[in-house]
Amino acid sequence: MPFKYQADLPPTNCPPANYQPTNREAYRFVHEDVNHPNNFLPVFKIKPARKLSTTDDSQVCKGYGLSMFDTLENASNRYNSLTADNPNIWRSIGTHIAKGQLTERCGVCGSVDSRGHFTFHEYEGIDLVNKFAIVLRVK
Amino acid sequence: METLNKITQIPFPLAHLTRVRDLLYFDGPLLSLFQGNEGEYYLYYWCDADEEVNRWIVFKVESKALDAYLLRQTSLLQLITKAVKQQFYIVDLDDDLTILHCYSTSLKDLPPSYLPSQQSFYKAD
Repeated sequence: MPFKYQADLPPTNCPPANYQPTNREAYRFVHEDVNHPNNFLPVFKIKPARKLSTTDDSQVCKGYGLSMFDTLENASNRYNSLTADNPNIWRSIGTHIAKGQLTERCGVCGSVDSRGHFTFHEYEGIDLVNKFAIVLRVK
Repeated sequence: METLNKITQIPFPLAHLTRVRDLLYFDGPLLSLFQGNEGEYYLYYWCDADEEVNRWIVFKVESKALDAYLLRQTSLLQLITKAVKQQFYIVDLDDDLTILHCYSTSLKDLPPSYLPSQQSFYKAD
């Protein structure tokens, strides 16, 4: 099944071969306005994109995925860590955490890292806006 | 985006730097390591954005200071305060990575929200 941003993805190993369809709860940083256009846009589709390279394929592939967390606690902890390093990060990623249910029809996700983060690539035609709802204000 | 005071706009003098790798990353780089022609280290530290640009603070660091940060012996805030010659460039990059503005400034004239907290210790991804 084609991915939402297929035409923009590097031609090989994107998403990586270990990315799989999944049924799981997911948490994502969003702006307070549920209709904010950037809430479910991958970083390379946000204008201006926060990037320093356009030629590193691994960066480009990640740049068309959506960052998610496995638990509310991990998402909240990561938000606090990001804010400690970059106090204005809220301008980029938002001020709230939204919760949703990903299904095998939505796309594929990578493995969950030690801080609960994983990257999700949507299939063509998928719109996650109506699948997520804000559950926590973090700023 | 924060308004910059007491800051001089100049041509960016470090356009020749080569990107090495991202040190902090979340939905795009937040702190990236660059090198100059002599192998000296520079950091691009993301600090702000608006609808037109992402704003980065670019500064030179000593290798020992960078190692101390990566080994979690010092915080990012301490690393910034130890920047070589206390020389900072604020660079506004648009979506095409074109530099729209570059400002030269010192630590004391950076907006407070442009500095990390005292708890900003390195966390490798």
